[in-house]
Amino acid sequence: MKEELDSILKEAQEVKNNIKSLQDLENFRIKFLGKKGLLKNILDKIVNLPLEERKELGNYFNFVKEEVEKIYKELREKLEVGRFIKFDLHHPGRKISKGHLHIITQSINKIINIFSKIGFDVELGREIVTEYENFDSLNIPPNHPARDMWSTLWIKSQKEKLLLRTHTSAHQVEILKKKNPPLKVIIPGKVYRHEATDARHEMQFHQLEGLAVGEGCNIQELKGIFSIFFEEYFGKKLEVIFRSSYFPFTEPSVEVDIECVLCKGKGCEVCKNSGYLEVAGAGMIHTFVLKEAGIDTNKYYGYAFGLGVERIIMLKYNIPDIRLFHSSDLRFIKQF
Amino acid sequence: MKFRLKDIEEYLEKKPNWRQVVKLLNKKSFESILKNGSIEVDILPNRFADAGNIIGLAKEISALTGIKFKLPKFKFKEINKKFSDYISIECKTDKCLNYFGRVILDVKNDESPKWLKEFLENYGLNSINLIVDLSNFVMIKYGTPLHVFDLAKIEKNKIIIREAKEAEEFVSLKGEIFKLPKGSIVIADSKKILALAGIQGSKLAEITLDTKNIFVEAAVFEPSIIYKTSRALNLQTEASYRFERGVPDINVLRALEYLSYLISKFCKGKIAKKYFQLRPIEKPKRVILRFAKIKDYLGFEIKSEYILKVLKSLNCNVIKKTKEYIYVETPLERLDLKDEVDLIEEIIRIYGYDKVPTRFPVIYKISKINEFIDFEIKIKNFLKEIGLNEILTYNFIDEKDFENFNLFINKNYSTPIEILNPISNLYKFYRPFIFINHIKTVEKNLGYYNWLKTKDIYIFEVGNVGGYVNSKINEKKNLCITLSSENLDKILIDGKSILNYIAESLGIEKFHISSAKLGTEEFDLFGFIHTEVEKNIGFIGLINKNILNKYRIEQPVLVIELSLDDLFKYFREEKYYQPIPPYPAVFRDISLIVPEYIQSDVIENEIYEVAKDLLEEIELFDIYQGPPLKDNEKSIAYHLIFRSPERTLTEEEINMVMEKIIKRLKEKFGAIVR
Repeated sequence: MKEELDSILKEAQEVKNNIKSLQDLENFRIKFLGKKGLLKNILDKIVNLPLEERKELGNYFNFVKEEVEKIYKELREKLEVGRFIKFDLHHPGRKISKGHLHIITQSINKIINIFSKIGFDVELGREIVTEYENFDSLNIPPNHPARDMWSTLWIKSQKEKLLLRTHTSAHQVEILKKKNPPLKVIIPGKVYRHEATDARHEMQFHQLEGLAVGEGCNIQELKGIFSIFFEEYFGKKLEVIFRSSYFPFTEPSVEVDIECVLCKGKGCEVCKNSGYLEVAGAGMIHTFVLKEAGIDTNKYYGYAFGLGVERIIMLKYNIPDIRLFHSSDLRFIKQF
Repeated sequence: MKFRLKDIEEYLEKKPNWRQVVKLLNKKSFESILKNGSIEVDILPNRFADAGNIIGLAKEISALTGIKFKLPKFKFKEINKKFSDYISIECKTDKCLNYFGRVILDVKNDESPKWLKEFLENYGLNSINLIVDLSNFVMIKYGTPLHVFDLAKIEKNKIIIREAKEAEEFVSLKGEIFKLPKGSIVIADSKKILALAGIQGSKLAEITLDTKNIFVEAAVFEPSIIYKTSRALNLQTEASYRFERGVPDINVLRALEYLSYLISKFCKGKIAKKYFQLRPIEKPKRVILRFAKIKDYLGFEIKSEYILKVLKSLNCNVIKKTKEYIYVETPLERLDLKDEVDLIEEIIRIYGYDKVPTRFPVIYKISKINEFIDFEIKIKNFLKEIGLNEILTYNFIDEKDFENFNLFINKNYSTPIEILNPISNLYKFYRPFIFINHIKTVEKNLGYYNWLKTKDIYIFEVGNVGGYVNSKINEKKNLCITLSSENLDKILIDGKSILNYIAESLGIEKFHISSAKLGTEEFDLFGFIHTEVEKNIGFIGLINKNILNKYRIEQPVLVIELSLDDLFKYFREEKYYQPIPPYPAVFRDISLIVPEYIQSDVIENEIYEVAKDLLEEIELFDIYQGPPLKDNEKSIAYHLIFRSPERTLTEEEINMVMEKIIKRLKEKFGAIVR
């Protein structure tokens, strides 16, 4: 009979792991501990045994019963907790709707951070400026064909001629006057053009102006600035190429190209198989502009550059149409 | 501009490797590409005067490649009679910078030969007749527009160069009549205008196949006058394009001689002796080029021998060379080479930008944080954190927008800012507020329901706005928050919550709403927003339903527009530790029924007044109107939090305060406590 008790205990220990629900547990209880269960069955037999044997087996019976009850209790504690938290962890969860900053805000923040690491302050300017600020102060006199390089939105005004700035360069003289050299400044801002729009042209977009005057602000450093900036912005080292160009307010002037971000110079659809992308205009600040700001050109020199913000964002994020930026289409906004 | 390779090769001693030439041009001069037997070159505006023609481009290629430039020689005979026997010229304006002319007799004008027609076609010009075509041929080669007059059509054989009178009439080649702006330069005789200087000749002095004797004009006019006149009349020609960009007088004279030679050769014309010349040829410009300045600009030294070599390749005449500088005369046709920096550019571009190494920037000082930009970024982040989406709209509104919000705009500005030349009527005014654009944004995004799967549009934008205030432009930066949902209560409460959140984030104790109004033309609900300091810094408004109908929006739209410039003044970033209160708080709720017109903040103030220092916080948690309440009643409920800095408050103490509060509210507002 002792063997019978052993095999009951063994079975109870074995089936323990198969009990997954309260129903299984109830079956377990009925089988082992129930009124007609295995243990009760044995107890009935023990009661009829002679005293000596009864005493001996009785003790052993009690030990086995306690063990089985312990198993039952353990299982019950475990299963009953689960009975009150009815949650399936496979539930997909709910979508938390988070807010988004416009990709232009995010990018300008990033650009500001990169330039502040290499010693550039940030300045802002108004969007409505005078004809002098936008043109004359930059060596673009009235009735000069150079004005045709910027198609302008003019404002109805009685007194002086006003316009929506066509470039952030409109603040060069103002800032050169305000801050004494040596200086390094960037000016991000919205600019406006009287232009028919398409996937690559906008009437309203963002520019980043750079302005540096002082010892060492030369073409070598200008190349270095672009090299650092594009590496930080695109996250990879890209060759910077200067091509001779013309802007009335810089002399010498250059067009700045970088190796194509996508094909790294091999030629692809984005760079029209040239391997290079035009990303900025730059040059040494024209002595005309420095003089206009009252700066001694025998003592000081420096560089300036202008960068199309949307242009580099489009390259980085593979955005095909510049008009998306001001579309206020939340299907676009929520992607970034 | 597109050039045939063979036309350029005529002026070079050796045929160049064109692929190599294109590479060099791209890096050092102009963007260019090869296209079946031609080269397309994007001549920079400052170089059009010298390089926007076959000879000039050949010179540039010579300087880049080292292949020698050559100019084929030509000769012609003059007859004994002087030009002055046939024509007299009087100049009455200093806007004609120089003027040359020759008389050619007994010409036989004809149709042009095939080679000439082909040439012109390649350069986008139509063939007219031999003489006109030859003068265009010379223009393409020398870059100088020339004009030929029929001598028989010039009254009294006298040419007068003068400025036009106001609205004087000019008959174009097509026979159209233009009324000239005052100050335009004209070539005239005693009776009529023969040509609009630098732009186009007149039909009245036109060359025909019957023309016998001609006067060939080669001139230089003040570029800005040509620009102004051609823009004013909207009459842009090949000639005006060139004159606007400047034409060197030396080239004009060279071209005159070449054209005379061609006319004598192809039209059998007899060239009268000597030519008319108004002024001496402009003197070459002299420039001091300092080696130290080149080093400043470049960052390193270039050997003086190399610099000399470059200057010579550009046909600069070196007058003097010292250890510090080179003194040079720049070539007459290079109008762009006036100053030291112009020469520095030449040296560097020919040296090659690709040979300039990059260098890590000199850092003068730690960058200063621009506090306003920092503030702007912070406030945008605050709003993003609570689930709002930042958008950008165009800074313009259209006429309809303006009409819809006319009254409101006029309360804030004396006149709106109107664009003189808008791209379209949609962009007629610079926006006076941002919120008007947001109404359209809501409309647009409701149309995207299928993708967005929600009708809750919670957006914000930071941007500039403006208008005239007392005839001065007032441009400022605003923040606009727009909430739209089918659930009106939700956007109203969210709107107020967002305002509280902004105030708290900025370190402003609270925003107050003053003169909250119901129903105006533009808003169904409206209130000004101000701070403790009583300044009006913006508004909150529920857009009027009729206006929403015009934008085809069927759900409520709440807008909040604040002046970011003003908010910046109240922005307090400094934070100091506040001791955590040592004694526990006691929480109580109170629910009242009061007349509808009593404002919540009035009740709150009253409660504060009774509870004095014991009340730490009061929070409205429910407002209800509707059955079973009477029409003019509302129920309003607050959480009250009591705390003393000195001791633990007892129940009895708070009960007494609560009784006092209830009593006061009953007396003051007839409140019923539930």
